[in-house]
Amino acid sequence: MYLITFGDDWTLGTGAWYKPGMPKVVYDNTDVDYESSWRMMLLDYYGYGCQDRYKNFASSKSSNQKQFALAKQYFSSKDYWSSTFKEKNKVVLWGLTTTRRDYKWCNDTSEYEDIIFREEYDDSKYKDKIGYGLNKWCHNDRVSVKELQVEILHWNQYFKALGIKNYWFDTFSSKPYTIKPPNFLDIGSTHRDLLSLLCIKHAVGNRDSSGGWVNDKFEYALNNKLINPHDLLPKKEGHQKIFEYFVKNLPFDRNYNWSRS
Amino acid sequence: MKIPKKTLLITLGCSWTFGEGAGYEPGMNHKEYEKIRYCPELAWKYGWRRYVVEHFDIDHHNIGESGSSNPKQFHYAKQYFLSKKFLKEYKEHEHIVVLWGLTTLRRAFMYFKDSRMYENMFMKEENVFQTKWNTNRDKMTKAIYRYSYDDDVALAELQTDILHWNQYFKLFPKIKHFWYDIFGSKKYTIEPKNFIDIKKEKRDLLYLICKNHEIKDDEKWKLDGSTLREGYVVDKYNTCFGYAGEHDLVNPHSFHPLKDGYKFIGDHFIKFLTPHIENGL
Repeated sequence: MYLITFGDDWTLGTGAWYKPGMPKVVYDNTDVDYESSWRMMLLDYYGYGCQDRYKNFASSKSSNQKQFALAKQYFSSKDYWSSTFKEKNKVVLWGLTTTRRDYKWCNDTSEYEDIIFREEYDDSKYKDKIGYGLNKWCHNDRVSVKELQVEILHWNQYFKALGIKNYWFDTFSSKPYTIKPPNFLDIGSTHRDLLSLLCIKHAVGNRDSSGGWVNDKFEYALNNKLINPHDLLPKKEGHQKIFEYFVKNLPFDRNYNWSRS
Repeated sequence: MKIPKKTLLITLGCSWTFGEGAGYEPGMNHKEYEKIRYCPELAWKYGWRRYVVEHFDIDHHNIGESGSSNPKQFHYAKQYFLSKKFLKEYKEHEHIVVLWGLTTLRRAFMYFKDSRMYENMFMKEENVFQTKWNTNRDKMTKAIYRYSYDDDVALAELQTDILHWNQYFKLFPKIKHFWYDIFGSKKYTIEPKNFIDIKKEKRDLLYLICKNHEIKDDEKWKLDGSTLREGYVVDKYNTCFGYAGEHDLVNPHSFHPLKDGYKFIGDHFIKFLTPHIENGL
């Protein structure tokens, strides 16, 4: 099997190295180490990691647009068709992030930049100005979810024809999709994103039936130390829970038996 | 030679594919022209699509539209090829031909909150940039052009899309699919086999119309690009609008082909498609 991952920090595993009480300055200067991330645990579990039979495109602060752009490049590339294409049982795991991000070329840096939609902007950065304009004049949640749905269906069609099994999941926001693709994890649940998963597990484990986490998942997760206070990303324990979630919900076991599909 | 029955032609592109201005008559003033400019009946009657469809006696579905950008056509295509309408047509037809025209890089489209619509965006030089209303679309277009637009980057993105859709269409064995440049031959660094005249430096429809005129009139060739026309038609990949304007090959109001220009394009595609058809779609 060959695993290909797409997503943002939640998939990449940023912050998995955070330790309780770690000051921001220490956290920011700690060497990046994804070993404790659910992605790496999954690679080990399925035996991908030791054989380098995986490809990761998830990146920090990535937008969905960036991941679609990277996917278009990769699946049309010589790299894919000369090597990965020959691999058997390819699996794509694709985490969808907030729709309030974009990915555009910026003429000041002469690079593609991750654009965050903003209420205010730093006048010296083109990416901030673009993010301000997109937020003020263009972004609409309903429209952006609709556009995302078209992409999901388009890529489902594409992967099906390529013989690749692909699975979608929401990272930290469960979007109000009007489609229900069977390969979208927990698509039937209102709260299907990984952050909700952590909150629900904590609430259930602590007999917290108030449902307080629903009002503000990030606040609940922060107050209950489910995410690190610097980046609001899962800690090592959270990554363990997310790993267990994928093992339980992906329709194949570690012996590549697809009987659960 | 006729294509076997139950063949469908799908066209994508901008106004040249739609047939904008095909009802223009020489001497029409601007006001008269605007009345017929977007008329779908005239666009069909005098545009190039009808010539191809009637010559081969095939079914037809057009996605191309006036003012469309390449990103908009990619967006439309994603929706269309996922639709029940397409899946029904795919089942009902034995062969499907996709003719996909690529327009200038300097266009985009985005959703705007104030109009609650997707709007076309035309990247122009800054001094002619805004409409007198300075709408949100104008402001955003200005920001995108100034902060984010680059010809080479836009071309690289277009090439990635071409390769992506080439892969995508392989999913449908009944589909035979071709790209072409509409106006302005872009300097691609890839050479897909299904891109019409990709190995030629100049390959776009406007160039072909001008070249045909030059050959006919035995004129001195001066298709070295022109800055006669301001704005979106003049990009770094020089177009032939200057020559076409000087020789009345396009109408003077929106610079679209005249009736005989659209007929010429229709004949061009008939000639191109015929051997493919003879070899069996």
